[in-house]
Amino acid sequence: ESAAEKLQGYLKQMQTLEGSFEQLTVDGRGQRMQEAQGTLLLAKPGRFYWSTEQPFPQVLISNGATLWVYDPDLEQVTIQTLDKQATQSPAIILAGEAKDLTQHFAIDFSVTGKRVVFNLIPLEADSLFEELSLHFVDERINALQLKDSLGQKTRVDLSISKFNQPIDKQLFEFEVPANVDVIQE
Amino acid sequence: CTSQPSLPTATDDLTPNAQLWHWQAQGRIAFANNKNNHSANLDWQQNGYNYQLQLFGPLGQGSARLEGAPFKVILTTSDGKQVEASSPEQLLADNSDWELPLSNMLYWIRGIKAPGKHKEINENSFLQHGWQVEWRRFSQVGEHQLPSLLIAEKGPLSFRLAINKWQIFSTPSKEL
Repeated sequence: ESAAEKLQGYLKQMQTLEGSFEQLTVDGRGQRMQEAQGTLLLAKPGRFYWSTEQPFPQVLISNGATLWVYDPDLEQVTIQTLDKQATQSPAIILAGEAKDLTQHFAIDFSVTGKRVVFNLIPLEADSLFEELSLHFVDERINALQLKDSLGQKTRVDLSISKFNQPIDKQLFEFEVPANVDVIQE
Repeated sequence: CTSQPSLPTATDDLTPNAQLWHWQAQGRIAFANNKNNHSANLDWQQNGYNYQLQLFGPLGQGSARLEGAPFKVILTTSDGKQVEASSPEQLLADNSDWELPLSNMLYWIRGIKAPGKHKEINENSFLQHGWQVEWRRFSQVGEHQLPSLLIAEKGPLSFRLAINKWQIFSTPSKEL
């Protein structure tokens, strides 16, 4: 079983996710750059709600076709179609169709104890990160880490409260608040 | 904007915010021109005339780092490219999709006007170097009133800068 097949097997088992995340970005010198926390909901295919609460609020919502990026501090919302470039952002990867991954990444994996870590190296040059790793325990995702060419590492630790439970689709539609600057891409 | 010196000249402006030369501002920035628009997390550390400005995506990706000192600015982009120049504006505009009037923003971000002519519009907005700037929200940081949302436009260019974490250091914070 190739790494890609193994990863696809794990991702296929995941139809919906609900939980929270803690995120830490360190720069190339290992200096703590930013911590973030928030909540996430995910429902295949293509639906997710990724809400960062700290240090500042930002919400990414996708209903599988449209992606809203709402920035309350900036009083701005960007509305765009869910496109290919987005397939390289972790939220989309987890919510996307598993079979697409091998078109975008070279994949290998390593096992240490109960932890299985898949390393994904983007095939396209203009990718936003140099490496993405997906960490699974008991075939369930519990962390992901991104590294970029600045040597910056962002680790996102997930604590999943609900796995494959029904989620109201309405949660993946965004109601644009009044007098907010709207950017249509 | 005009080619006024990138080195922030000592300003005789005695307002308290003008005396702030050692600080860190973290928040969000969005930029738009007629071609595209993007937003990023921002981490701006100012240490006297030296500064480090980092722009990075919500998951830390797609970042750019500007390390500036008088007459020398180095830009490192997320694909590892390093470029040097004497002015931050040109460097950023030539090597990334961001066209930001950084030398002016060094003042506007502190709620004061940059050196040079400006025209008052009302208490919280003015025209300077071709930009129309508005301080839309303020936050209290110690005894300083500092902007928490700044909106600026110049023809097709516009940016919005939201700062939600200000840190003021009395002496140099960390060597940059």
